Amino acid sequence: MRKMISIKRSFQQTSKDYLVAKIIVFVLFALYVFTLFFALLWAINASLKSQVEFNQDVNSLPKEWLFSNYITAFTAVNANETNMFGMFWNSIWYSCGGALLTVFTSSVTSYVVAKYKFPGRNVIYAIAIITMMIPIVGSFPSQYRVYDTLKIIDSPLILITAAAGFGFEFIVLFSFFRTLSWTYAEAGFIDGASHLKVFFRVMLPQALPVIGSLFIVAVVNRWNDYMFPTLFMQSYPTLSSGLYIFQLEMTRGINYPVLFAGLIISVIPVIVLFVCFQNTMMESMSVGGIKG
Amino acid sequence: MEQTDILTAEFGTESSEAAEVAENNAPQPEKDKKKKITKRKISEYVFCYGMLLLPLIQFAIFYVWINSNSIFMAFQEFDGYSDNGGELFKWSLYNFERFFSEWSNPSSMVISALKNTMRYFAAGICMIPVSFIVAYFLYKKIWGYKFFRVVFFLPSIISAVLFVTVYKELIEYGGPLDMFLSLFGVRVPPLLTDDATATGTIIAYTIWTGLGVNMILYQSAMSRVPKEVMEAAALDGVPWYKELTQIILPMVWPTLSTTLILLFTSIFNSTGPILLFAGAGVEVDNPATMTLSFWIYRQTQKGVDLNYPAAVGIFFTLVSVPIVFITRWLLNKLDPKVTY
Repeated sequence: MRKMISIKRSFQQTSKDYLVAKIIVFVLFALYVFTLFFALLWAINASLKSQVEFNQDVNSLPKEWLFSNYITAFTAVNANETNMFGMFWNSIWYSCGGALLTVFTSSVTSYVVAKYKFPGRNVIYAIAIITMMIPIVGSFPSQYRVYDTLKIIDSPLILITAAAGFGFEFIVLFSFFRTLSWTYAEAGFIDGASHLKVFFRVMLPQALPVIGSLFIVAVVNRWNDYMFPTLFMQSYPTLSSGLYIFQLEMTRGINYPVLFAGLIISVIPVIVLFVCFQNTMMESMSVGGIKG
Repeated sequence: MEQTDILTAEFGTESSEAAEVAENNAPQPEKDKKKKITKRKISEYVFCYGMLLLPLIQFAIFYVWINSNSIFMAFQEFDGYSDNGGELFKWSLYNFERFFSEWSNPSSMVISALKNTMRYFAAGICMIPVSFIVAYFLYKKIWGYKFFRVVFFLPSIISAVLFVTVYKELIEYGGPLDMFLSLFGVRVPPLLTDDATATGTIIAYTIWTGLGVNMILYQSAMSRVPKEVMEAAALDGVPWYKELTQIILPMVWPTLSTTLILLFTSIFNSTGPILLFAGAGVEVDNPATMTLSFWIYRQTQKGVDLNYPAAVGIFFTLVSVPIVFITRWLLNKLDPKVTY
C-alpha cells in the first residue's frame, strides 16, 4: 500500500501538465480570494472614516479610526421609525423564532410519518415530496391577499407562516427518523410512557444534532432574508430589510461610513455562528441548496 | 412515484421503502387480544392525528389556499367597488389575453423580464462546470485547499445587503475598479445606470458570489469516490483532465444531475438581488433589469392590479412542469450508471 502511494506521488509530481494546471488554478483562486477580501476590507475601511473624508476620497485609508461610527450606527440608522436596536430585536425573533417553529413542526410531522402507520400517511408523504418538486413561480400576489384576509400582514403573527411541517426540513428529518431504531421507544412503552412522552423524552433528544444543524441553517437564511420582511413586515424591519430601506430612503446625504458600520454589525452574528459551526453549516447549507 | 427519484439521488428516500421500514418499526399489536388491540390502535391514531392536526391546518392555509387562490386570481378581473368599498372581481380570461398580447409588443415589461430571466438562467448553467472544476481542485488538495474552501463559501452566508452595497461602491466611477483600470488609461463606464450593461453587471455580481453551495456539494460527492479507483488511475498515468472527465464525472453524476435538475426546475425563478441594486439613480421598474420573479414581487409591493402577475406566475409554473420532466428524462438517458 505504501509503495502504491509513493508511486502515485511520483506520478503526480512528474505529471508536468497537472502542475501547470495546478499553478494556474491556484493563481485564479488567489485572485478570487483577493477580490472577496478586498471587498470586505474596503467596507471595514469605509466604516471607520468620517463622512467628509469618505466623500472626498472613497478609497483612502482613514486619517483617524472612527470606531464611534459603530455606536452612531445604532441610533442614526433608521427605517420606518425603528433604530438598529429595534432591528436587532426584530432580526432575532424573526430568524430564531421562525427557525424554531420550522424545525419543531418538521420534527413532529416527520417523526409521526416515519414511525407510525395510520391511514393517510402515504398521502402525507407524497404531498411533501410533490410540493417540493413543483416550482411555483411567484405566489406573492396570492400570498399578499391571503395574509391580508388573515390580518397577519405587518404583525409578528406573520411567524405562523414559518411553522411549515412539510418542506425541506421534513425530508431530512424523515430520513433521520426512518433509520432511528424503534427499540428505544419500545423500552419507553414498557415503562408505561405515553406516545407523547416517548417522543419528547426518548426520540427527540436523539435527533438534536440534526435538528440543531437545520436550525442554524434556517436562522442564517432568515437573518439574511430581506425580500419577505420588506414586503410583509414594514413596521418591523429586520437588520437586512431595515438597512436596505435606510439606504433607499436616504439616497441623498447618506452617511456612508455609518451605513457600512451598520452593515458590518449586521453580519457579525452570522460570522460568529460560522466560526463556531463551520463544518456543520457548510454541509447542511449545501444540502439546503437542494431545496432550490 | 416518478418524482421521488430526484430525492433518492440525494437522500435515499422512497415512499415504498419507507412504508416498509415503518411497518417493521411500528408497534405490532398482538393478535389474540382483540379488545386491547383496538384500544391500543385508537390511542396510537389519536396521537398521530393529534400531532399532525396543526401542521396540516397550517399546510392547508399557507400552501393549498395560497396556491389555489393564485389560480382563482389568474382567472379573475377587477370589476369596480362594492357598496361598502370592497373590491369586486368577476371571472374572465382577460389576464391571459393581456399576457398573450404582450408577446407582440417589443417594449413589454413581461417579455423583457422573461429575456433577462433566461440570461440569469444561462449564467447559472455556466456556473455549474466552474464550480465543478473548483471542487475538483479542492478535492485534489491544491495548496491551501482548506482555506479556499472556507473563503469560497463565505458569500453564501454573508448578507447580500452588505455585499451588494460594497459591490456598487467598488464599481462606481472613482471607486477601486476605476482606479485600477485608469492605470491602463480606461475609465469605468456607468455600468448600473446604462440599460445595456445593467443586467450584465448584476449577473456578474451573482457569479462573483455564487460559487459556494454547489462547490461544497460536488466536493463531498468526489470525496466518496473510492481511493482505489484514483490510485489505479494514477498508476496508469492518467492525465488530470481525463481523470476529471472520465473517472470523477461519471462517478459523481447523480449529484451533478440533481443540481442540474434543480436549476431547470427553478428556470423561471432565476434572478439576482435586483431589489438591492435599485435606488440612487437606478430605477426599480426598469425593463432592462427586470426578471419574472422580481416583477411579480414588485407588482405585489405596489399592491395594485395583483391579478395579472398571479396569472403570469401560473402560466410559467405550468410551462416549467414539462421542462422539469424533459430534463429529468434527458439526464437519466445521459447517466453512465456507474455503481461502486
